[in-house]
Amino acid sequence: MSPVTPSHALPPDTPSTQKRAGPRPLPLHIANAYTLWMSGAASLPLFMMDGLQTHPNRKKEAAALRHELNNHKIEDLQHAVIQKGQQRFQDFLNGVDAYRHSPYRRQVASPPVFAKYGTTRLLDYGVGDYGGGTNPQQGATIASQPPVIFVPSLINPAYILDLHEQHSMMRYFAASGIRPLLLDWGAPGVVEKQFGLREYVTDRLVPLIRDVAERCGQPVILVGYCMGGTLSVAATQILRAENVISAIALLATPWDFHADRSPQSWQFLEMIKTTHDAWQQIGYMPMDLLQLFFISLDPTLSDRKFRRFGRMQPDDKKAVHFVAIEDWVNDGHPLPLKVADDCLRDWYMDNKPLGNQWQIGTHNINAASIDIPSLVVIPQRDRIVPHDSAMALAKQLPHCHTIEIAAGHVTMVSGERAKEILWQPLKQWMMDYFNKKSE
Amino acid sequence: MPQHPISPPPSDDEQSPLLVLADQYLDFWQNNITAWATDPDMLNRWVNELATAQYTPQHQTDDGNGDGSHSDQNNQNPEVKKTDGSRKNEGN
Repeated sequence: MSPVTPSHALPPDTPSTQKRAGPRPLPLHIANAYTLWMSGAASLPLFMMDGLQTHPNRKKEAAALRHELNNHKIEDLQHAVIQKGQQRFQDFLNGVDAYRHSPYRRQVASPPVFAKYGTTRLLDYGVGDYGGGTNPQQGATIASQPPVIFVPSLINPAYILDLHEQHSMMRYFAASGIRPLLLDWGAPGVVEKQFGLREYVTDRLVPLIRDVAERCGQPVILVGYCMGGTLSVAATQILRAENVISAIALLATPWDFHADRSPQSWQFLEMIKTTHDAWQQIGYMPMDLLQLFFISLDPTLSDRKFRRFGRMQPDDKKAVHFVAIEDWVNDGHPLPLKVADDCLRDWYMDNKPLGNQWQIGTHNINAASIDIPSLVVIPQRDRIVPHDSAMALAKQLPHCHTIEIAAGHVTMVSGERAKEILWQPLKQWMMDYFNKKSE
Repeated sequence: MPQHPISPPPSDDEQSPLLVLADQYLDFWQNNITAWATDPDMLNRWVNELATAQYTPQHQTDDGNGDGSHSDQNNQNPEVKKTDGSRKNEGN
């Protein structure tokens, strides 16, 4: 595929890092895998004595395995387990090494910038051919098409919605005759480093929405992902009287911050609180700190996925996709401290959105007052935004259609099956909306 | 890339029954840890039990002021103790 790059487009995106630093933080991933396998070997005698803490769902399996193991001498078993444990650790290291040396680099034709406020850019996939040549209006502007603004999270980069040219939610919608615009929050600049949630909503998101609606001559559809969805709800509430937003879709969007909260999140919040003074001094929340939380949600995931990746052929489509996603996971800018504070206090501690107590400037955010058509999409296997947290929003929105998808937080929007499980249903919802509107 | 003193892995059909069992055990080991870490209810219970054990006033038992039940609890292998606790919950 050789996309036609409009003359006014930016040069292709350059990779964020030439040498991969990830998986981040690397020493923790390695130490974690080493501890996993060496402690497994060391715990064999305890397991043989039925002294190991076994999850209730695994007890039958444990008993059957123990029965088998008891037919052998413990010394021989110990030797075999140590050998296999070392091998697994080596497999993990090989997988990490293969990832770090992967030749894949995200290099995509970057679309023109529709508008720029500070370091926040709105990328316009509706001008030129960003649909991979499948857009019937290719090469021509589709400016008259309904504008849809996609609002990602502030934490990881926006390009999860434009992963690469062969797998891109934005390019899929561009090929569908919709004018997709991607909000790229960018790295906080001098001004944004002082921002909290309020400023990101009132000084970035709200004016950008007004700008698009005015220049396109029609209201926009908002599609918010993760905390980008939460911010989109606030923007919709603020702009309610201006008729600049016609519908809103919310993907894996947290609303009840106390729903299904895991011990990991409680402990992470405690850690943030107790170390707050340190972050105050440096002025931002380092990305590696947030990675600790993600690792804690499933501490053996890193070992499992890198050992599996190590068995793939480097040019295998799945391997390339793995690297693309992993690069995104390990990419990201430090979070302004005030944003982190606002999330911690207003969301995770006081759970203000759920109780209609969340204030953005003078606006009290109340999802129940959003009377435009809405869609809430809930990934059923989401560990970052629990199912019930997103469902709470669906219950408050008065004109809400809800879709549940058997996927995780990231796989839903950009996994290998994302087109079938999310992009198509989301497009269908938009089409249904347009059809109803034109009736 | 550091190399470890292990021989190259034999293919599955070459593996001794002992190595096959070792793999099964390590699969179990990882799956069991994953099951604990990704089950919020059970993990909460586990963390609470650990916290209770951790904050038992050890110094009181050491200097003879603690009650016998705390002392017994601290002297037992916590893993064995909690396995018993999990068994009680198995039928829930």
